[in-house]
Amino acid sequence: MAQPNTYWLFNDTVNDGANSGNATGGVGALSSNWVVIDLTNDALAFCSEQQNDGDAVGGTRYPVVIPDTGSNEAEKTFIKDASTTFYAQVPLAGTTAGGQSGGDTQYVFAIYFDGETAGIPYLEAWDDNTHATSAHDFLGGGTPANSSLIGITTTSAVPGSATWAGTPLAGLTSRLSLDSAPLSAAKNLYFNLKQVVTQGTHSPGSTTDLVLTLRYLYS
Amino acid sequence: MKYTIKYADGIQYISPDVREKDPGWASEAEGKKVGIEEISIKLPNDMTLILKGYEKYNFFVEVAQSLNKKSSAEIQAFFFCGASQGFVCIWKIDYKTKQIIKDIKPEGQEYGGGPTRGWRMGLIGEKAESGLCPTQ
Repeated sequence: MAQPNTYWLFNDTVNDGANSGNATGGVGALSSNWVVIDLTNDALAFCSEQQNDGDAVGGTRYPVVIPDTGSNEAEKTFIKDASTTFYAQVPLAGTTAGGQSGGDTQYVFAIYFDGETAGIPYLEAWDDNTHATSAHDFLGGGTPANSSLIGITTTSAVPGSATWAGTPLAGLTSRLSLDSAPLSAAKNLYFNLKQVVTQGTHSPGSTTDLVLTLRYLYS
Repeated sequence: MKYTIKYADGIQYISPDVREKDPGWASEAEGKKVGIEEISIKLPNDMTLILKGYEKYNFFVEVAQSLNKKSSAEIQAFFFCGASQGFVCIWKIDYKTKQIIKDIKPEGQEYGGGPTRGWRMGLIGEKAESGLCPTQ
């Protein structure tokens, strides 16, 4: 059971279809289209409704607005694509509360494993790529339930609600199991993400080195 | 870092370096009918970890790969496990901090509260024990 290769992808269409192209993505089921994420140079960006698909990465960035009271889900989700230097929208990301095209949808982000694993793969969020702390206020400031980054596993099924609650992501204590068992063969694992910012919890203007992390086992 | 498996028939298997992409967990044992008697690994701190007498054994490498900053999966820890009578003794060797942590969990909950794959047959009816001792 050698170390499998892993490939992160996103669906850049509003069509909720599986990644049939596996490692290379491309046109998937139901006319979906899967784009491979460059883990070193691309970045995930949650933005307000002013940001548009195709905006230049070097141009104006419209961050999510923290409301005067209560919470606000990011209206749009993008991958900052280093190869094209454009913001590439992930239209099915988040819930209907965010106002994109998703909600009770299954095929939004994928991680393709080209082989088996010794344990269940997990998706986590950390302050940086040392994976030592998850104390930034966008990750709940030490209270994982307050993390602004929220995910849901959709490997086997849709969330079941267009306004799914999901799991706040913060370190090891609050993370996503991407499947229900260790992988016995190559497989696509699917998930969805949203950012929800809350008045009094998350600070305006914060800049971070936050990372989304895949943790898995092989032998 | 290489581990050694001693089988009940006296055969010994020495693994590739566990930091390689294929650490060879008992690849020699595929289809082998003889159980594992003992597993040992010499650690950089001049100690040797030994597990013996368990009904079954497992070994795995934990890696983490992050979106934004670094594309390669980096080794986080090595795990050596021995299971007996429904419980798993887990030895975690943290690759970064060099800490060695022992834990005991119910079988099927040995990693992150969930099960693991790759278990190899040990011996039934033996005294299960594990620990660190100075490398000879």
